[in-house]
Amino acid sequence: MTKVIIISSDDERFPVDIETASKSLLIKNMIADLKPDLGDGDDEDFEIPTPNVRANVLSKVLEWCEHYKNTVFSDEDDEDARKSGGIDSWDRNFLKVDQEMLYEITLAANYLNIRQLLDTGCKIIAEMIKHKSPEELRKTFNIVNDFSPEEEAAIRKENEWAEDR
Amino acid sequence: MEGSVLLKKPIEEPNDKHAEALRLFDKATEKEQHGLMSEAVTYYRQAFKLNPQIDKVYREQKLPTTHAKLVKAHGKNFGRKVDPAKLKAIDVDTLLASFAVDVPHAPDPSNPDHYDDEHVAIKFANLGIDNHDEYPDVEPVSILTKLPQELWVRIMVLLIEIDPEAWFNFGISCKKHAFYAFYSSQVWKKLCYLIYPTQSYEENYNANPKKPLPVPLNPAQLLSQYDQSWKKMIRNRPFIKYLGCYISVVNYYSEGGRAELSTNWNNPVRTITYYRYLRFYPHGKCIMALTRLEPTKVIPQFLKDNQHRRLLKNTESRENQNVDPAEEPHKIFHGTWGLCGGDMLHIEVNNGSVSYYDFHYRFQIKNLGGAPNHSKLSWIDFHAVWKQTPGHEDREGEIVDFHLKNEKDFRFLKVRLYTVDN
Repeated sequence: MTKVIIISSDDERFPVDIETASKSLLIKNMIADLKPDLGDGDDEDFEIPTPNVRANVLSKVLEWCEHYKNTVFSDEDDEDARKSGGIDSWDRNFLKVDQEMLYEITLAANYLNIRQLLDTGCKIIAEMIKHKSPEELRKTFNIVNDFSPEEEAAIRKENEWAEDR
Repeated sequence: MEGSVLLKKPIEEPNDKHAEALRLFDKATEKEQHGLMSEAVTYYRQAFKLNPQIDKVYREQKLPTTHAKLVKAHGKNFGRKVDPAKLKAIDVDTLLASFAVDVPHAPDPSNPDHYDDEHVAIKFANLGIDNHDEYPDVEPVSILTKLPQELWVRIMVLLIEIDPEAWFNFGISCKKHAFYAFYSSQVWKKLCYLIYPTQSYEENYNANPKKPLPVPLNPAQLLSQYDQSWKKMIRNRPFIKYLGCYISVVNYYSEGGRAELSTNWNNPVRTITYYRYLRFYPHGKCIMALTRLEPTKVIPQFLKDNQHRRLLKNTESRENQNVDPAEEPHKIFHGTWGLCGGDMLHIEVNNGSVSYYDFHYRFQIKNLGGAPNHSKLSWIDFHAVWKQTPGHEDREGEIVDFHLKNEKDFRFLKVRLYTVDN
């Protein structure tokens, strides 16, 4: 069967099914534009380089695509529903990774245009922020408070009320 | 310095007596905050009887821990004096825009600026207790802060819906985060869409279904009135909040502080305190209560789903379903609300405390403390209209005005327990 070969930035080759590859809208559109008859005959494999994604990240992302290759997301085109839905337990487990990997996966999902994975990545990061005080957040992201007292007071006054609704 | 105070031994007193005095003093300050002066005085007296120095002890022991806790939650600038001239000179939008190029820094243990007095005090205090060192390791800033702005804005839009407090806390954690949280118009747009479509507008009552609504529910249709700025819309267009309740604390003096049959010559006045509570739900439903019960008691049971429609004096007895209405006089009344003319709020209660009245309340939504928070409801009018009542047919439609002499404005109080439909 015809495969799509996705090539990482460090030149590792990942042969995958068309369905798996098509979870990425970027790749799906590339196939549609450049090789619309892919899979119809016994074509040669189609190579797609992803110069922004390293092999260890690409393999993770493709693992996600493989898992969901036969899933039709009901909320594919409903951005609001997709964004406000909960996190699937398989996804939650899948993204139990360190901050570095979470960063890479989220970036890759954005670049490859894999909406569901991008939303899940963003939700996991939002959950890291939930229920935390400013100081706890500074610890989470290992940053210092770089405001002057006046700057902090001004920004607080201008925006804090908006958390009440 | 707080650290040294914290480590000081409590004043030599038998322990339980000391603790009891502190407890009473604490209770007294709480009552005082609620405006319950006579009760506060009673507790203060009892506390001072147990320990004449209790005010000092309280200040030395209780306040520093509270302060230290807050500093621990908010960081170095908490409670710092700010220069009002400098503060006034800041244009927040310009400031936020300037943060676009900022890079977050990791704490540097060798930099005393990253560990100011309060932090050292906390560290010192913690060392005294459990030998726990508070210095974080020298590690780089989390790589997540390097995600592109568009993704951070996405995360902010998510957060503003699920945990608006965390959205704010993230934005106040450093300059770059402030840029992500507060600068993008998408965040304010999300907020507008969360707020305005569920408001209730009297202009839209009985609107012709064939024509567009007088007040469009889609905020995009009104954006041009706010110079195409979502942030400006939310600052300037009043709205009703659902995730909390509005409370009016009424204090007034009345004669009769003297006990009945007392032979005392003087007749001291006493303070009467009561509360009005209001809570709103999307699309025009609201609940209301007038009671002497304090917020701490009322808030957890002030729900539209409260099946007794009564506020219990003892919440524990909620377990048993046999609540005797006669014993529980604090009712929750259900009504409707609508905004009109932009900033006016009209509340109607048809099944209120007087069966033959329709009650009408009118308020103006105002800002509190100089921030554009729309958090105050200022009284305009309170009247009732006679309903059709057997035996009083001639009085139907008659208006009864109530005076607002003792009434105080309502203030919004955020309640974490509340959702839009509990």
